[in-house]
Amino acid sequence: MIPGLVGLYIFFLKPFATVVGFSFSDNALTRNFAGFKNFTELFGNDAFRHAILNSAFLALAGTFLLITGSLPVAEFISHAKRFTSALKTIMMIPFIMPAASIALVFSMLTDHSRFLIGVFQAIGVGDSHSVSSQYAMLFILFLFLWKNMGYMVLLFGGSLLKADQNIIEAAKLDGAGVIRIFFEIKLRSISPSIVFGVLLSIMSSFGMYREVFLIYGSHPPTSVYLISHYLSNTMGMMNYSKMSAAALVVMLSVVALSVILIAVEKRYGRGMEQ
Amino acid sequence: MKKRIFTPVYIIFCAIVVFLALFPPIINLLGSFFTGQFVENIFSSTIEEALEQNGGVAGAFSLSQYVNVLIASPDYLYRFWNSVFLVAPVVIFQLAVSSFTAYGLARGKGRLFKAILMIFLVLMMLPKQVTVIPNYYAVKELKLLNTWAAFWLPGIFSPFCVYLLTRYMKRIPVELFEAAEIDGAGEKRLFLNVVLPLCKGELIALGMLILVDGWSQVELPIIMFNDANMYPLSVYLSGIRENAIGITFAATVIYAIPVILFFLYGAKELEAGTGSY
Repeated sequence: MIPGLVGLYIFFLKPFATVVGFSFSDNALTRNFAGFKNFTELFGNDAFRHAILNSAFLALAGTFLLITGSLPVAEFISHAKRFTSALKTIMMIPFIMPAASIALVFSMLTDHSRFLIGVFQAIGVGDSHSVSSQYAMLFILFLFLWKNMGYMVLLFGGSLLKADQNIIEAAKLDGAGVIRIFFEIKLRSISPSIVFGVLLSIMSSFGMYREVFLIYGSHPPTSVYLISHYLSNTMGMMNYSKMSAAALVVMLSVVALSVILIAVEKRYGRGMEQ
Repeated sequence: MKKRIFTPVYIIFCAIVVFLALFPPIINLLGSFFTGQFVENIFSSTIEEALEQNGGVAGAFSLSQYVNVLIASPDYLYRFWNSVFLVAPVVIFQLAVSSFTAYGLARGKGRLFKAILMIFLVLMMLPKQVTVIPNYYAVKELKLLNTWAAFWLPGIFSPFCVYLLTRYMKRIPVELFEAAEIDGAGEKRLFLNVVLPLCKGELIALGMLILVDGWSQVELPIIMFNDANMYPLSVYLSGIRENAIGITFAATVIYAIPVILFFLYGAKELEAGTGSY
């Protein structure tokens, strides 16, 4: 494991110290200590606030919808006997398709599609282009679910199968229905997988930057201006100290989030490490 | 009785899933066989109008986009090979490095190992733009900017698979290790002859995840390379859409082929591996 740790140190941990250093200095050249000036400026900045709120919304709402959506689907498929393998393979296709291919089709659909324009006009809201920027976040949320549903169904499908069959049989004898068994036995027994799924889903919600970038470019509508846009734009402006401060804020939030999740799981589930 | 309700619901469900999952890729594929003008018309007006304007299906059908992408304009093919050249070493060496690391982490006991694993988890979850910043400083310090290694090294040491693989290895029953140790197997033999064969499927699954991620990678190349000739297809495709709809459709189809082939080869492993976390 030594080479892996050395690589981790050289490419991630050591330079992170530089990032921390930059975030407290007034600019990357002179490196005068500036205290929390960068951070207070950051939170006073509209673009940063939008970025962090949008990213948090996408991560939390997306994860909630993805997990609550894929669990019943996985459970439903686990009762089926035919085509399950083929179905799972097909469901994975959105996940493996390169972002550029998908972004191309989706942006054609939202920019030009007569069908969508018709739908929008019927509801009484402008043309599809302005609508697509107005509802950009909903659209990206949909794209996120579409892309990751298959993977989550695979993840939960596998662990649902491993739920203790003896307990389930016993519950059936006691007259518990499919739905009660699902909520009271299966969900509990797969709680480590659920936490893991939540972590992966938060990770892929950050990855949605690529799709947003490919569809809307580097200055998307405000509603989908993500933290990644903010970071790459400040990097483009060579504002290293502000960028480092922003990166540090993101990192600390992710650390806090994962620690909370794992603590919750430890308390109520079987423990991630086992 | 229950089965009678279940089956039709299941069939409808299958139909919806298949439609939703395959609709955009199929549009992408179909679009690549028609002229760009026709594709644009079909999205902005009805199918009949688009056919009329372009002289029917026969008039609109065209392979010229593929000819353009593959032969006439070398740019796409050149970037395609850039992508292969950038991503293939990352897939292979990331798997190798992370299997050593994961083995160590999975076998190690105590708080230190848990803490290291936690660091891997957090790094894995961070947005690419955050991890790209320390990567950039490191590469700059090593004076490797604008070389292929600027993409390879951060990719190879990426924390992505270490956490997943450690989780997987921890599922291997301890008895198995104990039995092998009683038989006199050292750590090296344990790793090569016991753990690696057990993880083969999982390694294929992870290889696919690295490929899928690396193939769409835009963050690293943009910041590491000044020379646009070094950009992979993923970056290139994001820039050319405006005036070349037809070509972009064909280029994205070719772009997706390696990933899809690898997926068809490893779909079983991916399913088994993902279901086992």
